[in-house]
Amino acid sequence: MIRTVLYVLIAETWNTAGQLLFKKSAKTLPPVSGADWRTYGTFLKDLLRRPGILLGLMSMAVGLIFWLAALSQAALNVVFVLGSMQYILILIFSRLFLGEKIDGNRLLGTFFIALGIILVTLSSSR
Amino acid sequence: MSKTGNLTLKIFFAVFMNDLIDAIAQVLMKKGIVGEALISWNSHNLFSFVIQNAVSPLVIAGIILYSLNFFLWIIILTKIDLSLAVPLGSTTYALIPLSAVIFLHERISMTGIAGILCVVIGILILSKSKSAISPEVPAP
Repeated sequence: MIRTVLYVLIAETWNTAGQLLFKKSAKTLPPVSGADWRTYGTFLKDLLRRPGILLGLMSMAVGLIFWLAALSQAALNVVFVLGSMQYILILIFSRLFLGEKIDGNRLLGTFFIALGIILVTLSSSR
Repeated sequence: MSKTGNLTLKIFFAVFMNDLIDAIAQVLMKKGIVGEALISWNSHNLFSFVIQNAVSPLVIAGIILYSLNFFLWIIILTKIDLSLAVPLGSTTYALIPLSAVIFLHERISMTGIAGILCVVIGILILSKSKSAISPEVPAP
């Protein structure tokens, strides 16, 4: 069990690092909106030139290996429930590395969503 | 360059679509996987597994959807905070069972109902969260 928890923690840390790299890259991309398809084309070209995007994908690939390692040891629903530690990691890392303001609503809303997902996962496992 | 703003209904819809497309892509791939299951990993059967599945139309469709979805996710990240996007990106866990109950009249346990309620409350609270407008970040 300890080993499963550790694998999920490592997997989610790599995943969160990947998301941080995506967000860092997204911050430097010009915003797109509307129905002008050409802007999406330049956006895509811009995006693929950002090293953070590739690094983020690699980071998530490492996370996936640890996630599969966890799945090989424990039942799917157990791994999913443990996976909700991602929400805590995202809150901490977004605050530390992206300077996002975590107000009470964001903390409480994230808590409710994580709790809800745990309950739905548990209810579908029977 | 891009400013991160508050959650609007339009962005919520984009996040929900992103999550839904992810689920559809997974179902397509699951249905499209052909050949024998990979029970033991050796270079020979891994190679034939990849070759067999690389030509499966459903697997290809799944991979295309995944790629488009990744593009959509980065667009979402240019608009809202990461700490807002990630929890919202898992709401299909509740919204899919909820639609199964409403439209397909599936039975659901009390634990399931409680879970769905929690997720809906969580979304409503998150929509009240204020995003600090991040300072201009110079492009590298």
